[in-house]
Amino acid sequence: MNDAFTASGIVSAAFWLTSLLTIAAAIMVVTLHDIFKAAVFLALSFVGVAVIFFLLNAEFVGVVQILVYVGAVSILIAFSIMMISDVSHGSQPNRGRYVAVTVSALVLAAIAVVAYNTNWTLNSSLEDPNAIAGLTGQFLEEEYASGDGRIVDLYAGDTTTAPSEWALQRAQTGVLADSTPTIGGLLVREFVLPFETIGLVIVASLIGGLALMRGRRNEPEARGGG
Amino acid sequence: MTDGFLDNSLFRNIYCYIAGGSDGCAVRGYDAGFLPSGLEWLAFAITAFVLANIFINGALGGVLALIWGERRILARFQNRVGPNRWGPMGSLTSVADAIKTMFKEDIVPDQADRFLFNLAPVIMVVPVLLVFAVIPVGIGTVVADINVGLLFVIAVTSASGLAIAMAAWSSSNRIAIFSGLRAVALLVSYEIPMALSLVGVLMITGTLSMSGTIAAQDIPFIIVQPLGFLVFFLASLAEMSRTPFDLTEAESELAAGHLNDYSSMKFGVLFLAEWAATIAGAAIITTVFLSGWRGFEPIPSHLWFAGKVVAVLFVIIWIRATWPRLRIDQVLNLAWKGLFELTMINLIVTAILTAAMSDLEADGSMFSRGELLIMAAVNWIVFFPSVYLIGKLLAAKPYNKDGSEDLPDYPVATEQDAALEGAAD
Repeated sequence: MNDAFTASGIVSAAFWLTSLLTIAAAIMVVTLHDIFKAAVFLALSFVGVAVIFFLLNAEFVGVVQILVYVGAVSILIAFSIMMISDVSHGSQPNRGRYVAVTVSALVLAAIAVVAYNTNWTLNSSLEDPNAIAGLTGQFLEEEYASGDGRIVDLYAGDTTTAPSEWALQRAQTGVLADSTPTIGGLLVREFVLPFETIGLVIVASLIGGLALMRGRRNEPEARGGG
Repeated sequence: MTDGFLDNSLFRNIYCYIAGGSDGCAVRGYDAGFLPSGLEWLAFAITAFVLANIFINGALGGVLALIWGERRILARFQNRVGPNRWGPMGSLTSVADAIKTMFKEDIVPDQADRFLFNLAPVIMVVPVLLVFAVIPVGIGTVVADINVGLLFVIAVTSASGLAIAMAAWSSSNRIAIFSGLRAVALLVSYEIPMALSLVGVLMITGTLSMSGTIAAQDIPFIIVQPLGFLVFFLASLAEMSRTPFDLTEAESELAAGHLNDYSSMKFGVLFLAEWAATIAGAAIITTVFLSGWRGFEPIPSHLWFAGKVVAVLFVIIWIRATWPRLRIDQVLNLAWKGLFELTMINLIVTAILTAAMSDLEADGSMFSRGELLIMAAVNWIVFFPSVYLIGKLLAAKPYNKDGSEDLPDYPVATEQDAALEGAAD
């Protein structure tokens, strides 16, 4: 399966198509007057981003993108729109749009600078078998069949017989394909403090929301709404 | 873990039959295929097309069979005969219904938002069919064994809420919008216990992939994780809006809910997506909690899988025939005050057990049959008191007659109201 992918331009074709679709959907979000349609196109652009994550072998991030943004955020937006009557015919221009444009441009510039300055040569360093052995954590115990039928054991540090193309490909995609345990490990070891801070912020906002609703409920008029 | 659990032989066989010359196929001893090398992308595309066709048509055929089966079984429960005219035992009724649906007039309401109205059935059916892509229906028989399969299933099914919201909103019909509100509230609430009930399974298997989950089930997880199974089963019933959680289509209040304004094949597609979601839910329950296609030898794995799915579907139909529909506040209370607590208990117990067991284990990844049995014993001991306790907490309290604080959320006639009504008369 993986050799079929690398042998062809399917991935890059899919990448360009998805990028175009995502950007087009994002433009629709800010130009459409019907707020419900805008929410649907927002969901579409989220799906596009998730597909790009899939193409980068970041399956976990891609799936979480769909779960959180399409499955929760978009649906909650649609939910709140359904509570409001007559939003589909024209909307007010946003008074804070110049601020929004400035902030968005700044964020875009920051991301572009980071992307430009990052060293994206992870795969090329993997041609050395020892580098593979160093990076492919859980694949070390596994053996790979070489192209001519021999078995190359990467774990034994068998550098005399170079791994075959097939083994190399499996190992290379292996590093990236099994990103879930790596992300999990990083979240509870190196980045445990930011992780817990985010949890605290979410709990605080949850309690804040509950407190707001609780205050509303004690007012006599609001009771009939049930 | 043996090779059979991880090897996607269905994909490989078709792919290598077409393009045998590539690296992966040569290692496995395939002959050269009939496509020249360099055209692997074409072989890949053809294989993908063939697989997608097999699985989608399988799912659609399953829907027809399920509709017929459900009508027959429900009839039996209600002491009726059920559909029996067209085909042996009425088995071609669904086919006749499908043809009838196709020939109906396609009506779009004047007030409807045409774009969203036409798009909603498509958005509804795509996630459901995507779920079938990651479910192994037999040994080595899966479209794509992605390594985040479980999470993929939850993520993709959650997108169907958006389709229901679209269908409801675009109809410009207040009854449909009520149904859409209910559906979204239900889906968002039940997604949380649904996802959390799978975390217990994840802690035992240590993987998110479907084939890894099956490989880890030397004992089916329905025995090891009774709480997880209960919560997941109820949450999937809610996600596929089956009885007792079918209040999005409560006939007595909302007619067909968000399906009200749909006719012809658009209605057909929406209906099909709902039934396919039922089959997908049963398939997921089978894979995660009933050890998927595993069974003993003389019976082939595909039959094992099909048999388990049919058994789960029968239980779902049985519940529909037996239980009344719940009210929206009861449904949401059950999700937030009942199932959520149960998943938390399950999570804590499983986490302690997993931590305690993996200290004994040398490699710390998979649990042996004996360890699974110990886990099962502890989990069953926890299961009964916790379900009893949560049931007690959730049970309806008698009305607070002196009317001080505990008023229910819905309006209740008080003595004052009765007196006022009497005065009005």
